[in-house]
Amino acid sequence: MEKKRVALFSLTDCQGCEFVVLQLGEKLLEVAKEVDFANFRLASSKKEDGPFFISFVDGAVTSSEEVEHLKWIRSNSKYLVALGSCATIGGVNALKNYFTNVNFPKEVYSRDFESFEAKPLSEYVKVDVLIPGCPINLEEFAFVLKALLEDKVPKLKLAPVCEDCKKNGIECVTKKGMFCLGPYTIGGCGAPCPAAGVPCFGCRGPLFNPNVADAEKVLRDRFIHGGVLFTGLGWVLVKGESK
Amino acid sequence: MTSEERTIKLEYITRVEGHANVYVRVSDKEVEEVRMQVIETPRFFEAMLKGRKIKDAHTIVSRICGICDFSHTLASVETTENALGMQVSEQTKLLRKLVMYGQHIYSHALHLYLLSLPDYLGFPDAIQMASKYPEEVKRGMRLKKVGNEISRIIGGRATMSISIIPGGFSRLPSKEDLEKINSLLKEGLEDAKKTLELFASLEPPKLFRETPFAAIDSKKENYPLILGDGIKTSDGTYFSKEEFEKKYVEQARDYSYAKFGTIDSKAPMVGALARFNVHGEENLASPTKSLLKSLSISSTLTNRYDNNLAQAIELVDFFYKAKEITEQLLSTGIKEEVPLQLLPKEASGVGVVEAPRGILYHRYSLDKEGRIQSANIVTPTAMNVFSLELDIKQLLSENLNLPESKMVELIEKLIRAYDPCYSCSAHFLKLKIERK
Ligand code: SF4
Ligand code: SF4
Ligand code: SF4
Repeated sequence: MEKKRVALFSLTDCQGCEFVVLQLGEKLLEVAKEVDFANFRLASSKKEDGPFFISFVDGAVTSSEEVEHLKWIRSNSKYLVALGSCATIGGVNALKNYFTNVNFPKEVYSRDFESFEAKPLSEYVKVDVLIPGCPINLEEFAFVLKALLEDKVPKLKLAPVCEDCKKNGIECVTKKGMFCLGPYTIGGCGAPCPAAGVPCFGCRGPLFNPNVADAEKVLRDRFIHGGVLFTGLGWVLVKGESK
Repeated sequence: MTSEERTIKLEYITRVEGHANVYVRVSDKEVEEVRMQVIETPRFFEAMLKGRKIKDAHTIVSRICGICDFSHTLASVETTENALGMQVSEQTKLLRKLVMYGQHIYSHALHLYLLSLPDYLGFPDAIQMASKYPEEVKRGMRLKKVGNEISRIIGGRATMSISIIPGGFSRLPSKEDLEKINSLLKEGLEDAKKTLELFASLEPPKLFRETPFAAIDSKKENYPLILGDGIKTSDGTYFSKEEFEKKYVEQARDYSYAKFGTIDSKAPMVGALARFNVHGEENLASPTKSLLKSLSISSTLTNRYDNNLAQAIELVDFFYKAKEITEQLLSTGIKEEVPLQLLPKEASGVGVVEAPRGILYHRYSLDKEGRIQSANIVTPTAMNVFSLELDIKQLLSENLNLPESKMVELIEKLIRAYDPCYSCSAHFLKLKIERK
């Protein structure tokens, strides 16, 4: 049987999610017996043209070049998976979207060049599966890979992070007076943050499609109580869509 | 040589984290120009930090780079503590040292086995190398895992730590956690030693160029990875971390997003090779020293390509040092302590740590509510760009008679020996040689 071709591509991000995939370690060698990694820059020097059975794309879209690249990936892939919060909700990159009055290129590099709002993949192409998280968790990746190789498209389970806390017997940080975004955030991460004694900041993105007023309220609260992290709620505000 | 121009394009220099272009123009007599073009869409972290509360800084900056995220986290918490005058406990320092060893073990193992070794053994990548050298690849994976596990156990997650916060740890490891680390280190030690033997037996290409090696220095620590007070170079320069922006002079160039920096008008090299040369053999753990002796490894390494060897030396050394700390913590026992409180005030602070690839500098200025007014971050990859550019130039001048494919190979190997991590600023892309 011919091996299925799987590719990993990065747009603008820290590649942390690809490093999580590398944490498969020796298992990666097992996986490589069944699939052909066609584009996995960290582990392989192969750079091949499509078509790909699955393309995992990490990173946010922040330039017209990346838009073109993403469209090319889409047209060459049976399944396209958004890998990590940069790809699903813009992630940390979207922080710059909140400041419309700052000229970012000038600010950091003392000159102008193209840089537009950091956006998730789904703003430009159809995405078949979302794997949220900053970074992703490895079990989820392995699960999605396996399912897609069997031609099954898994659906993201929509339950708050609080369920992860309950399941894992983690003490709720709100009891210590902390403000936690867990109730508003897509769970499935296992709640590592509350487990380590810090509140969830919503890295996996909002659970519901909150309306702008709600998102703003939560963010303002958060802002007053201590800065805005790169929660997906920010993205709701940027899009300005109310549902 | 023909008079027509020829260009070689190398799409992606693979197996390097990040991307950039190398542009080279040569005639048959000389190398006319070399340009390191770091081109990834910049991500503006310094500007994004503005207005953020200082307590969130470490969480944001760790996302600059998915491989040295722990270094950014530690640089960030040290900078914050420096600004706010917080003195963390000895236990916090020990745990941070331990977690940093974990990060370096992970990163060196990854770089040595997955990115560099395939070059030496003539394979395009580790996955293909595994067909002929399964034991080596698996060893690399095992070593990487030891590092990942230390990071995960102490930091709360293997990528993007959670519990390392300004003032201490939000969750302390248990006795069982430390025992786990201890046994991982014990089991992995043989693998680490074999790595050094392997890399000492390879015959890398050679390139010697006079350059200052630079590393962080600390009054209290030998061979420091954190707790830096200043910067020391191999030609005897020392300056405090507060003077960093005065002494490390940066220039933007129009062809690159990376800034080019100098110390005393010279392009410094940072990283494992630099640390080894600046701090010297005498600051290694004694079993590492004996191992170097038995393998007849010289106490100063000046060949650029020996950065890999220096990484292998550190790999073993950090195993020993991590083990020592773990045993110390196990014998004293972990004290329950809560992180120091962040009391915002108008202040500014700096921090220098050693990321696997070299010096990492952070500076934040805060307003009285503890919001960041301005931030500056200098990454090791950026610090090495200039030196790498000069090295490529010399390498090509010494090898002008070689066919292009060989030249490309040499340059690629050199770049990988440097272990650049262009996620810091970029992704590594293509090499372009133009011949007249
Ligand atoms: S989602 Fe987070 S960990 Fe993953 S690539 Fe983006 S910033 Fe890095
Ligand atoms: S810690 Fe946060 S996520 Fe966990 S139960 Fe409490 S509110 Fe929910
Ligand atoms: S607990 Fe929240 S911030 Fe932490 S990983 Fe889960 S979703 Fe992300």
